[in-house]
Formats: sequence, structure tokens, C-alpha cells
Amino acid sequence: MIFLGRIRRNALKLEGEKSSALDLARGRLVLLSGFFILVYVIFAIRAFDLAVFEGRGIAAPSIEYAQSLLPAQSKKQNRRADITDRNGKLLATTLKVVSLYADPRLISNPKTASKKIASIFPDLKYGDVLQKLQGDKRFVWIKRSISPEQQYKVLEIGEPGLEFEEEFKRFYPQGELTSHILGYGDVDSNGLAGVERGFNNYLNDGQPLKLTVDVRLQHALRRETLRAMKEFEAPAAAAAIMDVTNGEVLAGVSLPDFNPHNPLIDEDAIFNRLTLGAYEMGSVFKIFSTAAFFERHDVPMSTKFDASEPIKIGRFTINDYHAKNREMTIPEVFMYSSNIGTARMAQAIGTEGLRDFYTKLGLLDPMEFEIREVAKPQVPHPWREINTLTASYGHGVSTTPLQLISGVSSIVNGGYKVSPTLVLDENATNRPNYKSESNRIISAQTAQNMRQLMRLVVSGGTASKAEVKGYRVGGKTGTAEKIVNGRYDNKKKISSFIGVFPMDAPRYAIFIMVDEPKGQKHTWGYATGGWVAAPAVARVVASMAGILGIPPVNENAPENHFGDTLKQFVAAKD
Amino acid sequence: MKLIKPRTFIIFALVCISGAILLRTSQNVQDAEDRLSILQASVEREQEQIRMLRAEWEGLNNPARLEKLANEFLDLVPPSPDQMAAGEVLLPRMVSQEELHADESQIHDEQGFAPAVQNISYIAPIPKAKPQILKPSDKDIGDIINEVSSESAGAQ
Repeated sequence: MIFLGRIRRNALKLEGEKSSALDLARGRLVLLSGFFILVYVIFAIRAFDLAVFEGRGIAAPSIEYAQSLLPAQSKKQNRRADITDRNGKLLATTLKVVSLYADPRLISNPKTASKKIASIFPDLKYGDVLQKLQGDKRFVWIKRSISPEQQYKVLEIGEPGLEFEEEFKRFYPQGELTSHILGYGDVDSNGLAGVERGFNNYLNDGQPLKLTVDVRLQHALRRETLRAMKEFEAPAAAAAIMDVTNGEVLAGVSLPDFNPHNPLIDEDAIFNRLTLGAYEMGSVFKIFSTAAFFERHDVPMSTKFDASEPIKIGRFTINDYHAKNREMTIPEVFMYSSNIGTARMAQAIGTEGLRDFYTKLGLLDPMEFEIREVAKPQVPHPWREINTLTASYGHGVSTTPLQLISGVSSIVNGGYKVSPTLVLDENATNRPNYKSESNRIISAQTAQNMRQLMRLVVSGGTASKAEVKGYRVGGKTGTAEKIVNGRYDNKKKISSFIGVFPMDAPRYAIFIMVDEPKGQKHTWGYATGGWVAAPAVARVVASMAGILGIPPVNENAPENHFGDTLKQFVAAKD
Repeated sequence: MKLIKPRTFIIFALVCISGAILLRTSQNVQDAEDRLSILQASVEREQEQIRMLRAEWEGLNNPARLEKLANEFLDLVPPSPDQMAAGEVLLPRMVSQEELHADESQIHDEQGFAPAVQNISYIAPIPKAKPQILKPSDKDIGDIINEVSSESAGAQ
């Protein structure tokens, strides 16, 4: 008020002495000083504001407040999306981790700081930290991936030279269980293999992915495959479970596998045998050649093939492993796995027929799959007649385990072609009905014949160890000799079994392949598919029954006698 | 001419008042922004924590670990196919009243008295012996299956 009064007094004076230059100057002076006073008042108010209002946050710092001050570096980067299994179980996720680094030049008191850091992180030694903090570098990592509590404690030290960096880290809760399917990535979260690679951009855009895999089945399959591998001292194995109605891969295992958090330790372990390994599969191919035979020739099961002596073509001789040295009916050829009998069928099919059929099943071309690491199957060039004969029992052509299981699925599901798939299509109406005639590759009758034959292999043939009471398992064993230095080595084998159940209305196909198993005492030195892989498949079927709650059928149920009609074509034990 | 007219004074006063109100408003906004950033940081932190806990939960619940722990601490084994009922054959059958009474009359003793405890074995399955508890470490489903299938001895 005093201030205003003075202005008024001055104003009165100015009114009295008009047009005086001095007065004009005084008036200006007053205005100027008034302006300065105003500025000082604003300063005072602002100072009050700063001290009283804005200071509140600083007066009581909380961990939230401290974090809101941290550079929001991670917000710029998109978080890589999660991958889950078909039931929503987490397979891969991205977590934010904070890492502690130091700028030693800004450290005011290295000794105290080192002591305090060592007390926060029990695994760090005082001496090591001190050495780092005394260095001359501008940047040195103290500890990667620290917890929020540890971060708060470090903030409490109040050392300006200690700083944090936030980064994203890929984490795989299931460990090595799904390692070959998921693959792995580099530190900048770029996928380098498996689904991580196949869907790299999609995941980086923050789009979550749901796979067809079921971790429970995956575990059961891995456990039993690993057990078979150890039991027979094999260096490697591969296995898969497929839904035969739509090609969904329910489980896929390649052993040895790796820790996805630290993948590059073992070159052998990161090799995906399921998709990237092409193998001569042996007798499991008889499923395909026999189906091709039924497609071309409408003959009864009682049709006989002469397997009384080996077939000789040029320098090749085709022998039987379980030689019977007589004429055999089709069921006998299949259940005793006669190479000679199957080669005779191949002669009846012809080179073109067999090759076309294999191609139609997708066995001879690189497969279309969500994982990009797929092998190119090896096909003989040129394809001569002898190649047709050997290809009928799975030698001379190599394909990947996943293509094999897809081919078998396409045959047992009634003859509709399915392709392997790994990403779950939750909107089932989007999926074209697999039972459409455009997908048909073999007739329903041939499919039925093959199912009966495959059931016979388990109920009375080379794979009796795959039987699980009440579940009508069917399948085919395969024991292929590996090529070592350009020659077949009968000591080194690939033993496999493809099992399907329930055979009267197939739903699941299980394939287990063991690389170079060694015969054991309790198997009387045998290391064939029937001894190595068939029991493992039986154990997987038993586990699946429990996990998926599939009830067995009663002993006398009609389903249990599926395929028994073929037994009339099998001669009594000879 | 007066230097300050009443109108000027009023305007000056209004400027001061509106200045004060502006200051207060800006103060409130500042406050709200602080609170917001703190809340956002804490929401983000909670979300991060949830992610971390979920990952940990899934890690702790992975089938291999659960199986190992179950083998170590529980007397339970996974169900084997033998332990599963095959269809509805094992379920108790519904019986009509007449059937029940007809049967009762048959089991009367010589004096014509019904027994104190009714024999109902025909409507409920006969309880079987408790399945032998298998130590998972030395026997698992695989072995059981092997035993079962060894009856049909391995050809090859």
C-alpha cells in the first residue's frame, strides 16, 4: 500500500509541474524501479515455490521416485514377445534386467565404494571391485543383471560414478526341454535358430506366439528318448509326436540338446537332428512302399512274394535281416520286415511309381516348415532300378525325421496329406478341413490296409515291445545301416520306431530314432529298432495316456482285435 | 491526468490475482505430473515384477523339476495304463428295486431273516488289492510296461 501511495504522490507532483524534462526523467525512474521491484517479487515467489512445493519429492525419496528419474532407455526398444505352448505355458519371455557399471574417473572414494558394493553383492570380492574402480577406463561393468533391491542399495551409496543400464534379456523357463524347437538368439535379441529365427521380426514387433507343442508331452518324449539313448550308449537321438489329423507337432526332441541361455558351447548339441538331419531311415519306409503297392495293385493280402533267396542286381545283394527263406504273404513281408519281399513289391510298382509316390508324400523335397533349418533330402542321381529296390526299404534315400512322421501321419489318418506345423491356429475354423478330397493321396482302402498291417507289426511282429495293453499301438521298426566312408557299416546303425495309436482310429504318431545304439547284455547284443526304439515308444504312449487322460479299452472290446483278421495270412511259427 | 486511474488499479489487481491463480494451478499440474510419473514407474515396476514372478513360477513348475521332486518326496507315481478303468464296465450298474429285492430273498438264511449287512457286491465292483507302491527310483512306468509286454516276448 505504501508503494502505491508513493506512486500517487509522485503523480500529483507531476501534474503540478507540467512539461518539465526533469519530471519526465523522474517518472521514468519510478517506472523502472517499479519494474525491478516486480521482478524481485516474482523471484521471491518462485524461490518459495521451489523450496516448499517442488522440494517435497526430494525430501522423501522413494524407490519409485528414484526409478522415475532413471533414464527411460528401455522404452525406446520394443520388448520381444513371449512364446507359449498350446496350453499357455511359458516357453520364452523377455525380462528387464538392470546392470551396474562404473565410470572410475567419477568415483570420489574408491575404497568406501568398493566396501559397500562388496557388502551388497556377496559374490563380488572387495579387492576385485577396488581394482576396477581404481582403473583409468571410462566404463567398467561391475555386475550384470542385478535385482531392484540391490539397485536401490547401490543408489543409497550416493556415489556419482556408479551408474545403471537397463537391458532386455531373453529367458527360457523350461530350460533345455524345448531348446531345438525354440532355438536361440544373440544378445541383441535377434533369433539365430528355431522359432526365434523363423519369427524374428514378428516377435520383435511384440506379437506373442503360441506353439502346438505341449510341454508335458515334450517332457515325456524327451525323458524316454534320453533313456533309450543312455541305455544303448548312443551319441544322439531324435523324436517327435504328431497329431495325425492336422500335422501339429505336439513334441519334438533332438538330443543332445543345449541350454538356450548359453547355446554356443557345443556345436554338436545345437544341430537340430529333427529337421536338419537327413537320414536313411531303413524299414520304416516299407510303410510307404507297401502303401504305394496297394495303390497300384488291387490284390488280396494273401498275395505271395518269393523271399526264398536274396535278390542280386549287379554287385548288389538284397538280404533279409529276419530271413525266412520262403514265399511270404503281404502281412508276413511287412511284419517280419522282409527286404526281399518289399523289393519285389517295388519291382511291381516301378521306378516312376515309387518315386512319384514318395514325392507326393513330401519325402524327397525340402519341407515347408516354420523352422527354417531344414535339410534337403538326398535322392539318388540318376535313379536306377536298383535305387528303386533299395528305396523301398529305406536305403539310398535320406529324409528328415519330421518328414517321415508327417508321411506316416498322412497314410494312417485315412489318406489325407498333412504337413508338419508348429504354430497353433487357435481359430480352428480357419483351418481347412484335412478331410477334403483335394488332400487325398491314398485311397481309404489302402489306408485301412496299412493300419491293419501296422497293428500286426506290434501284435505279432518285430515290435512286440511297443505294445501297451488297451491302446492298440501299431507301427513299424526301422534299422538302417549308416554309411561310413562310402560303405554301409553293419556295426553302425540308426534304429527307429514309428508308432501310431489307437490304430483303429489313429490320432497320435510317435517317432523315436536313436543314432548308433550299441547292443546291450539285456538285449542279447541287439540294437535294432524293435529293441531300442519300440519300448521307448511304448513308455511314451503310457505316459501320454496318463497326461491326456486317454482311457484304455477293455481286453474283450472289439477295438482290441483290430487287424487280427490278417493273422490268417501269417504262417504258424517257423 | 492521474497516473493511475481506478480502472488501472483494478486491472493491476486482477493481474495479480490471476497470476496467483496461475501459479497455483501450475503448481497443481506439476504435482499431478510428479504423482503420475511416480505411479507410472510403479505400475511398470509391478508389471515387470509380475513378468519376473511368472517366469520364475513356470521355471519352478517345469515338468522335469516337478517329476524329480515328486520322486524324491512323494509316494506317488504317474498312473500306469493298468490303473485306468477301461470304459464304463467298471462303473457300478444301476439296479431296479425288484432286482434288489429279488436278490435279497435269495440271500435270506434258513430262518428267513435277511442278513444284517447286505451283500451288495453285485452292484459295486469288488475292491481290488491296493496297487503295490513302487519306488520310483528303481521302477517306473517303463519297467511296468516291459513286464507286461515281456509276456509276448520280444521277437526281432
